[in-house]
Amino acid sequence: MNKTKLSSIWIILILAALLLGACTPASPTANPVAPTQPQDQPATADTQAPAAAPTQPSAEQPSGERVTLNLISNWDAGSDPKGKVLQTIAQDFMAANPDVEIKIEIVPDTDMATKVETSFLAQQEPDIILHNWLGPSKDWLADGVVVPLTPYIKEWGLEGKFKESALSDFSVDGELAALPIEGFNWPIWYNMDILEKAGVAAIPTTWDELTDAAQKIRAAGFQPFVIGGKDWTGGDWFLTVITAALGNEQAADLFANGGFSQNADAKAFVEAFVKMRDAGVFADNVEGLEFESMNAMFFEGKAGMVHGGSWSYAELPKELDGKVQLGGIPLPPNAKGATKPFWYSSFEAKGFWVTRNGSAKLDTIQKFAQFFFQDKYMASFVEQTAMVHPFTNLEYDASVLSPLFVQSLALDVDTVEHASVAWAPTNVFDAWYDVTANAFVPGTSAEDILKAMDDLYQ
Amino acid sequence: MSVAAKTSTTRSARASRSRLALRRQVTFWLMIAPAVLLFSVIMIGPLINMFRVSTLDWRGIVKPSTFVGLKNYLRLFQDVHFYRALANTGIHLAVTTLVVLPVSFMLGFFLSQRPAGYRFLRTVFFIPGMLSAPALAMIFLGLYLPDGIINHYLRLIGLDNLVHVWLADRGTALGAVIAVDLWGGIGWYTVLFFASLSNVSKELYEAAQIDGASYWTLIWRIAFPISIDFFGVMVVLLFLWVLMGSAQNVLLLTGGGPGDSSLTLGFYLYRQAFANRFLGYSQTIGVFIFAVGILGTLLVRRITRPRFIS
Amino acid sequence: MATFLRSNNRIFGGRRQTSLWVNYAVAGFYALLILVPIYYVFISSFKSNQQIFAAPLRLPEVWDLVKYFEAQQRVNLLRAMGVSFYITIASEILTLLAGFLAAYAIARIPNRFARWVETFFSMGFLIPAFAILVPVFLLAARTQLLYKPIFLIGFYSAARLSLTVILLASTMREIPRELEESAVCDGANIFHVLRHIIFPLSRTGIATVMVLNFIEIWNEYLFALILLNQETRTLQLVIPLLRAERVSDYSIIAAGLVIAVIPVVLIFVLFQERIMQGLYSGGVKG
Repeated sequence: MNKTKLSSIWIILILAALLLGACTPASPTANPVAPTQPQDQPATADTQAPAAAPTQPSAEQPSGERVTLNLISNWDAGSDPKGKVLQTIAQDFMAANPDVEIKIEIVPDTDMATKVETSFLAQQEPDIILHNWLGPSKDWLADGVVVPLTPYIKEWGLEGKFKESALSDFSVDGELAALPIEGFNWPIWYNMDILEKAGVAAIPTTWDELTDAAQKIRAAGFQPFVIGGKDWTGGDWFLTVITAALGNEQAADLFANGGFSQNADAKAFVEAFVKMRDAGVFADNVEGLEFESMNAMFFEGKAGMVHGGSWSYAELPKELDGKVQLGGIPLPPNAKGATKPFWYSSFEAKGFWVTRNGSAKLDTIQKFAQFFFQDKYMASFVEQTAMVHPFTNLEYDASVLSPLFVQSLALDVDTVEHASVAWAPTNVFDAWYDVTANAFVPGTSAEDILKAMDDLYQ
Repeated sequence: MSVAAKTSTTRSARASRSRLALRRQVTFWLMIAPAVLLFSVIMIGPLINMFRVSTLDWRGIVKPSTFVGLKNYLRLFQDVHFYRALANTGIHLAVTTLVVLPVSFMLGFFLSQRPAGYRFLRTVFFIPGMLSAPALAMIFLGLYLPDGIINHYLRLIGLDNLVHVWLADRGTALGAVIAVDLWGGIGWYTVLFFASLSNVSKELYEAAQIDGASYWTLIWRIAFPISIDFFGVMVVLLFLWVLMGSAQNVLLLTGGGPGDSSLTLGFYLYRQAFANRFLGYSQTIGVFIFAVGILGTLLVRRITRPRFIS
Repeated sequence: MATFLRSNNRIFGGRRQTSLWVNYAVAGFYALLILVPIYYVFISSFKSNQQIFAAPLRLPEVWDLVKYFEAQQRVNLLRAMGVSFYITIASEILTLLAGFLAAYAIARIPNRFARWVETFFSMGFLIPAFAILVPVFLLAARTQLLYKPIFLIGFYSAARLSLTVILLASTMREIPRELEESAVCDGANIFHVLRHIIFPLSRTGIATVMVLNFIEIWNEYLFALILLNQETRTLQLVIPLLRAERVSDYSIIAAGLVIAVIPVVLIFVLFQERIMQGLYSGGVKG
């Protein structure tokens, strides 16, 4: 054997190693599991489940052997009261069912889609996912990541337990993608002390009244309306209001296809927004504020109004007890989608999803789901975490609830959709927040904003 | 040695020499094998895959993909965001290189003269390099937020008109991101230059001083020419670090905004992959970055050193 | 200080030592720019959220370690730290083994392809990390090694090989050939040469490379996120979990960050001199 031949052999081996590294399938179509078939018949659970069967050996064990349910969530028992309730449910369930082990994996919310989808690709996804109906998760049903739960509501004895609106929040084309767990509402919080000091007689119900109130509040030395212009707090406010301004039909069309610059109502809305921004209705430096700094400003009594969600009711500091009144978002001019102050409230905050892998363990999951959705646990969620529950009726101890939460449940406001959650394609969903963040920056013109919106749909 | 003795030993000597040579070759390939195989499979393989995926229209990791040839590249060259990112990255590279390298070189020279306290300074300068991305994020958010440290103290000393919303102001967002790299880069490269310049013999400086050289001359007329090769390597390292690493800081601080004012090429790749989920297109950007990396490296090395590799 | 001034006074200018003071001013200012934020994170771990926002740089009133215990209790920091150590050290060993051998071969064995191999490894610097994330993940999935730490260890080793091989090769080239040649003449085989000559003499280069690798691997987040599972979470993966879903307690996050950086600082402090020496010999040649 001479030198050249030896070198050539090594070169061939190296090339082989390169090819091994390079030749990984670029798409899951190379995997034996195909995406789900088109679903034109709702009640075909029997034919669906086997088609989506996993290929890894975690199939349903014969009874008597230990079954493991893998659950993934962002509710961390260490830092989140919801996590503690979840942990309690799991522990109680395991105590009542010694042959089942529940393993809970905690992943931050922002990483959840990546985690779920990458593990799906490796055929190792968890059996149950607790996640919201937002962005990527909206495609999970169509992509075969999760199985439809439409027939199981009846089979599992949960019929009539959930509100219709909650179920439809997690439904697409008549199929139920997940069982609803967590709802929320999202009003405007008014610091009545500040409003009084500023001489604002009543809670504003229109943008004109809002602008007026803002000016008075500023004159009294406070910040008017604080919101996190830089992140989702400002973005979600904007996207809720635009839905109310455009009405569902127009909003659905524009958010699916673009074309904002050519739409008269959209133009009018953006112009009104810019006018309001430039009139100083928002707190100073709103474009740099985020969720935490927004809360800090309101909780410290520096701002008169904030757009706060139900997740924050329990955080209200004692100093503001009794001083905060809730109301809907004031109406933009010529609003087509609402007739009185409105809010975005839905049950999309958390759902109980069953994955392709989980569909092989349906017997066990049925037991767990029935256990999970018992009244007593939902009542715990409500009492301990100010959660808006999706049940048609539920008894819980109202005396432990935060006063704001109680107030919110009695509000008379219109409910509108959140335009990009409802209609924007997944690829565009995150990018919308860049557009809204930009909109809050002083100096951005209405044309700029409209153009940025249309750019998303190129 | 007699000619006869020479020729009689030559054949066996040659045989054993060639056996030795063969053994050396085998040794060479065996010794590099583990590293080369590991590297090929885990780094080079995926790199090649990046080229392949860049020709796909692939809209989400669990969705099917379709081959579209060079369509992504056509899209890239018509993409307004891409050009913005390109411009921003250009600015980022220019500012970082022009500030970090001269300053680090001078500080490194200073430290290499072993002034009192040099060890302490050296340790402090190295600290930014030891911090992870979450740590950096927490620090700089604490500094840049509207009610963060910088604004807090500006207001305190009465410089209210300098107060900015650093991360959300179109004029300052990119600068705020670049500042993070300057903060860490200067320290890191100072330590590296310190190490290199410590090898320069003191006699050179003393000889120049006898001829009346000033401090400035010592640095730039003596130390710099000697270190030009090392300096070139540092330029390449800095170039690649900024080009490839910008995504983390942009992600944690500004998200590319407002508008596209702090969008860099690295972050654009990340955004296309994880936020917009256009996986094929994101790899196209990756290929472009890779090409820029190679070109930049070749260019710098050609300028600072005639040979191709060290 | 006086001795130093006298012996170096020519370098820093005449009697007034202007360059010296200018240099100290600049260096001192920059050092302050580094220390103040670090100080801020450190003291934040002893305060409450309110105190952090109200007076960011004021010293805490009470040096209470409660936040550290809370951080540990919330996400089991110590276990995650253990995992990080395991993965980092295993990667270090693998990198060193493969890299040391390859570096020697490139530096000392005459071969037509040596230069090509070195260039091959330097390609590693040109690879954008975010770009190969998806293909690397697919590779893990395909080889059934997903979520197994061994794959991440292999990945980190591969990623660090570029720097390791090139730096070590550089260091080894400095070793006088005569030492090896005399050993070979005395009948030593290659293992002997490696163990008793090359290895001791490259200690500084090795120390440098190991410290730099330690820092990079210890701090890495994205690939660990994709390639690991709940049971084998590294420290960097659990720290973001200290942020609750809605309202964050910054002091706990600060405590977590302090804990996360301590090992890195310790290692650096312990190996400082070795690193500097390693950078001289490896650094000048680049």
